Amino acid sequence: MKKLNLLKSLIMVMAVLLSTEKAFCEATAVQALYTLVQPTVAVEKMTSVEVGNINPSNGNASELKSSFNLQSNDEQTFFVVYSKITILGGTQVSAFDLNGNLLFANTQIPPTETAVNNAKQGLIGNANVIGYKINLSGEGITITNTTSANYNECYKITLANSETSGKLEQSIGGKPATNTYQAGEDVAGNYSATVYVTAITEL
Amino acid sequence: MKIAKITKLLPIALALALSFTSVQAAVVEGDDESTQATLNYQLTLNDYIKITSTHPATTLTSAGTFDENYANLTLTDSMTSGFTIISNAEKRTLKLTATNTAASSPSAMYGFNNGSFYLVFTNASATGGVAASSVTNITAPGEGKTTEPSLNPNAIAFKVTADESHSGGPTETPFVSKWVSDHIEYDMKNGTAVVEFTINSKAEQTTFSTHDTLGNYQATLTLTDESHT
Repeated sequence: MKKLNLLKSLIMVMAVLLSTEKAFCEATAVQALYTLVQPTVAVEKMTSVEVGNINPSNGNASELKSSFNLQSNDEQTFFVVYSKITILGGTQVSAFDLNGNLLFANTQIPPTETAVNNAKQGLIGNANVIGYKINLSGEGITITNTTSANYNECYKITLANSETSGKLEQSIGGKPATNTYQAGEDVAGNYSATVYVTAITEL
Repeated sequence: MKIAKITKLLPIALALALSFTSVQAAVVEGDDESTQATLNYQLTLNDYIKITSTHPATTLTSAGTFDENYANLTLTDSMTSGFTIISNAEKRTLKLTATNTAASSPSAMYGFNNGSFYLVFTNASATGGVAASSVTNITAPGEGKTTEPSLNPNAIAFKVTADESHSGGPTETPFVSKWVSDHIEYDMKNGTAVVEFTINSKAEQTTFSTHDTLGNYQATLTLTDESHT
């Protein structure tokens, strides 16, 4: 009697196993693992110094710097570095110029758009905007200075051939960009710029 | 025998099924990784002020001539000098004071009017010095009174005209002067301000007389930073 019950139970277990056998086989076999691999894209900030000072007598700034790990196993994906500052009225505009400078804007007395545009061209008349050279470097990556409708002045970062990860480093500081600092014109206070490092597939 | 094989297969099947589940979980976690990093760079620009003399030398000198009645004193050289101020404070208060060699250092300025004022020079060579009253009898002779030459020995007053300018900052009321008690205060907005003082070549008549002995007469203007916002 017990044997009969055991046999019935086994038949039920087998039935269950057989009914899921195909699924288990697909799931546990190599086939299942390959089909589940998805694109892996990541931007990870590793280190950063984001706060510094400006010497008011000459405009020189202490060094700000940061490093990122960039990862992508998707050939369509690359990275863009773009920046924003807030101007009068609360609007945000690009903070990079085409000469490799990052512009900082006074947060208490936001600059006008004209002041920002003048600073980007190295022209006087840029009260409360101060620019500094931004140096981008890294390992396993290629850096291109470009512009786009979405990001304005920006840097396109691509991983080197057959690499799925790279390292990006930024440093900012030193002497102010041409004509962007004038003692008296630039009011004392906090100056800010926000830099974004983003994985994208289209500029 | 078959039962034994089936019972052996069960844990294997379960184990594989569990491992399948864990692979799926790992992939999902991978999707949650960030695709953007943000840096909020902040730089602090500290307060800055620089005050310099507009005249190469800090001391400005002139000889003086007087008429045969010793009633009118005239300077022979132009005496114009002042200060250049560079400030990055949104608003700053500067204090202009005047002193001379009189005892107790009374204020040497009076009669403020739209930036201009009068400045009292005292005889630095006078034997026994100059009493404070010689100055205060000119600067504050009392309500309804004017100074008498006999009451201000060794003290001579000149009118001072101020010329103010401002650049590199806000254009609305960037540099405003006002009289406070016994000195002048300037409310300055950020930028570069220049204030120049020209000493009138003619001394104020009621302050020059034979009570003023020969010697070197001096007055000093000092501009200091009082506060800023």
